[in-house]
Amino acid sequence: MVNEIILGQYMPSGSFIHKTSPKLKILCLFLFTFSIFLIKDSYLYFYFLAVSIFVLKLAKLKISYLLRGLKPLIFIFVLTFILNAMFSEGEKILWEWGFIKITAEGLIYSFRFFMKVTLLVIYATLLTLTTSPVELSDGIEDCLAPLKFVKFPVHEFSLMMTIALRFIPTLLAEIDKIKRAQEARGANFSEGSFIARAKNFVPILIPLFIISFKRADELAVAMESRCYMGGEGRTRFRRKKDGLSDYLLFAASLAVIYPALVNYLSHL
Amino acid sequence: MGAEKTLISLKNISFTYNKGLPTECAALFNVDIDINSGEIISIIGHTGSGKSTLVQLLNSQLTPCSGEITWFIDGIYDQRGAAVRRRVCASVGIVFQYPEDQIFEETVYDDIAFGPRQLGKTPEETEKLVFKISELMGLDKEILYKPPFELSGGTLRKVAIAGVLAMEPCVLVLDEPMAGLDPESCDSFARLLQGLRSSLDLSIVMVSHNLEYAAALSDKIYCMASGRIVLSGTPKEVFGDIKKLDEYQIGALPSAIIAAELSAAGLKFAQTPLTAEELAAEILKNYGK
Repeated sequence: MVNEIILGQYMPSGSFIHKTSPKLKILCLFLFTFSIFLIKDSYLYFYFLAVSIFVLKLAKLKISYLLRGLKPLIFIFVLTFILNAMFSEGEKILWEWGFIKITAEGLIYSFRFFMKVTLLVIYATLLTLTTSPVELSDGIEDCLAPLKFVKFPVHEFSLMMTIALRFIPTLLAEIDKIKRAQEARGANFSEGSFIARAKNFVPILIPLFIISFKRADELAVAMESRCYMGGEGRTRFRRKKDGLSDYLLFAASLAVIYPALVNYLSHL
Repeated sequence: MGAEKTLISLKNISFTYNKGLPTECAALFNVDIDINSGEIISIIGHTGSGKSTLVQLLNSQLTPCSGEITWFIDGIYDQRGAAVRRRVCASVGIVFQYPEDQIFEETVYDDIAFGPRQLGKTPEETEKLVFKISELMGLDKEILYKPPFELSGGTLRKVAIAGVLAMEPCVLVLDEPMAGLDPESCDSFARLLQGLRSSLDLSIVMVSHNLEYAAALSDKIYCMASGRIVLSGTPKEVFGDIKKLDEYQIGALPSAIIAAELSAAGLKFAQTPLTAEELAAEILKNYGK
């Protein structure tokens, strides 16, 4: 079934993390990403891991949601870990077989790499778990606002993102429906060679394209009939000024990344 | 109609979506249905009452969580006695809601021929089948070589149904076949279904919101509410039970309501009238005309 939970799907729980301004949450994500790359000592990775779990608890979400988001990436994690461990240079050789050398430095390096990627995914998932797609695109629009000065179509860009995000589940449901319909008339998606299987997707893809074009057309008409004229002078339905709690959260995340900065500077 | 023979029997079927996940959702409880050869069966009920789930169980696209479905159709089971999904799909043809959305070939002919080709029929057999089915569906020969997207909605729907019929199923299942059609197309469509039943010896299962057509076409009606079958029987039995229809908010036929009101006022009705004509005849009988 296609309607399984998608990576980092929005999970409302009404916590204050959910209510925090999306703009600041995106900025926090940047801060965390930045500091994860600054870290020099490995123990700080565990610090950031602990912080992420703390934030998850603050957001009143279960750890299983996070793990489910990581599950599809396990293969990539394991593969990069193994490749890094086998092919990185180092002095202390632990095990050798032909051209494959496993060194202590290599192991540490691949562990660090593994932690970096995992933490990045975890923090990005935290953002999408606690921010609805609409808020997310509002936040992106806010963050990109400075680009308006160089004539970048910020509003159109964020609208495009909103629509794209909004239609992912719809399209998945559509694929499921078409697949069933074609199976009912004898299509076979699970047998045959690779090429035969790829060919079998034509009966799904063509109706999907047609439906998407139709839907786009309908959406455009619906927007125009509600007098949508583009971003110029357009106000927002949800107007929320950043309050004290938003700034406090931002200040708190600044405090949280402080150890990473100190760690980086002390190794300069 | 020949001798009644059961083609599909559902015994005590229950079904739950996403079992074991937080999004778990029970759709069917203890459903029993027998589908006999040559019958037209209607399933009526609200959106979300489990009709579409039931339909997908019939051709094994969904597997019940408990209970048993048996197909009494030749060649469905393999040597080990397990139902082969592809064979079930071929013998129980399902036409989903808005079936015109599934059309994808360059010409109408190719689209109708998709099913037979998938089943490994020779080009000659396929051609014969396509011509036979399109004639039954009332599609002109010249339409067959047109790209499908030039056709009107009603015709497209006929093409889509022809695509399912070309698999030569013995049970045809239609999910909301009349949705979005104008009244005239609905009428001609109803006649078409009756024609198909007699000419192809089909059993037809129809999921419908339209009570008039369900009453006019069906041999048997099942009413569903919250995943259960709450009322079943011949159209006259079902639509005569206005109290129960009201209880589950399925809606009643106007003629049956009028008959109920009049019989409360003292008129006598030999049977539940399903159409305005039957109602008029019954009233006139009371006045000895």
